[in-house]
Amino acid sequence: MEIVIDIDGPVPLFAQLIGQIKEAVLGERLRPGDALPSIRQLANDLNVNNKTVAKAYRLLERDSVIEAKGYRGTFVHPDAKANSTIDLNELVMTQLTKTVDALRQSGATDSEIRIAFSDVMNRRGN
Amino acid sequence: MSGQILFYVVFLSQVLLISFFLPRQVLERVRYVVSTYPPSSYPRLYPVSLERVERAQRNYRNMNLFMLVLGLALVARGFYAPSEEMLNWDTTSVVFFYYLLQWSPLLIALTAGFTYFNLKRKPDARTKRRAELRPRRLFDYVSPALVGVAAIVYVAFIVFIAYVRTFEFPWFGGYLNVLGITVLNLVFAGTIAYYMYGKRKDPYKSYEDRAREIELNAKLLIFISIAATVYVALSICLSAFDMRHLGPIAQSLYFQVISVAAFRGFRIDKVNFEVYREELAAT
Repeated sequence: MEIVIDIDGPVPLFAQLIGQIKEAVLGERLRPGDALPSIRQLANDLNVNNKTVAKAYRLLERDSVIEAKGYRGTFVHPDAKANSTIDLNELVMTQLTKTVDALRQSGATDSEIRIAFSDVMNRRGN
Repeated sequence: MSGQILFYVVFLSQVLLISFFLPRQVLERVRYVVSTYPPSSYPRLYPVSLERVERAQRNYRNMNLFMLVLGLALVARGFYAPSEEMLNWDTTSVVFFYYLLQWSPLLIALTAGFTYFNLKRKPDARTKRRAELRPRRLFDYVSPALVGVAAIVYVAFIVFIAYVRTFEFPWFGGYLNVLGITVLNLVFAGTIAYYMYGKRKDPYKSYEDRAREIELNAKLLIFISIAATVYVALSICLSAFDMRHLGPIAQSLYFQVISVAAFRGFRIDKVNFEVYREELAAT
């Protein structure tokens, strides 16, 4: 199976990698248990930074589309097909939109919402 | 005396094989590629001008001619002004350094090849990059049996050195031999890993050609590892049985075997040259 990225495209490279791997899983071109190349191999083959591939693999692992098994390598997760249909970014947008709408209805201004959001994010970071 | 004659016959074979026959094969392959895949139809194959390619061929041919003449002069001196040691120095050392000289034209060409690959990469304006989504593993290219043989030979060599150390005889370097072979194996392992996982030297090369390149180089390096280990063990045996005079013969034969192995594996007819056509620029 081949992966193709467009370095001049509007979509970030890591997002292209994530999208194509999820598509491959949904299209059953990648099946549970299939091995994926190492970060170094894929980065060198595509001539991109290691961090780009590492970020894509990290996010795919977070979404349980792939699983890293240490020195044995990275493999497609047993539940990858079900997990590939979940779009976390869309979930974030939906939840945030609901929350912001609810806060506006309660009378909070946009400025107050932004300050509170920033405080909450900074508190979580600490 | 017959030992000396045997040595010079074997050495003559080294001179002719490595400085005449093998370079002729290399030049024939280059001529075949240039005539079959010319710059007009395969511009990506020629990041430098055809004149520069032809100049490099002439330099390569002349350097090998010089090495050939030098080798023949050494053989002639051996027959007409024989001495116990070649050039009144040390035959093993002369054979070794001459072998390095014989390979220098090809090493210079390979060094120029790196520049050639960098030049090939520069005009690659394609915005789409492709890769196989499949891990590369050593046993995809080399049989486990071959790796097993190399491992067994290495372990057997360590056991052999440990055993030989119980005897005293001159010219024996002890565990330095193990260190040398270990370093050699580590360098080879690193080189194989570089071929498998390193950056692509040629951005246009097809997946099949890359796989063939990895297979060829991995098998060659494993073969050289086995051959080097066997050769060092043989040299130690010759020293132990007071037959060091046969050492240069074994050495020259060893150099010829690995040189033939290095050239034999590469098949120009199996390379996909279509990737170097101009119309692929759209992708």
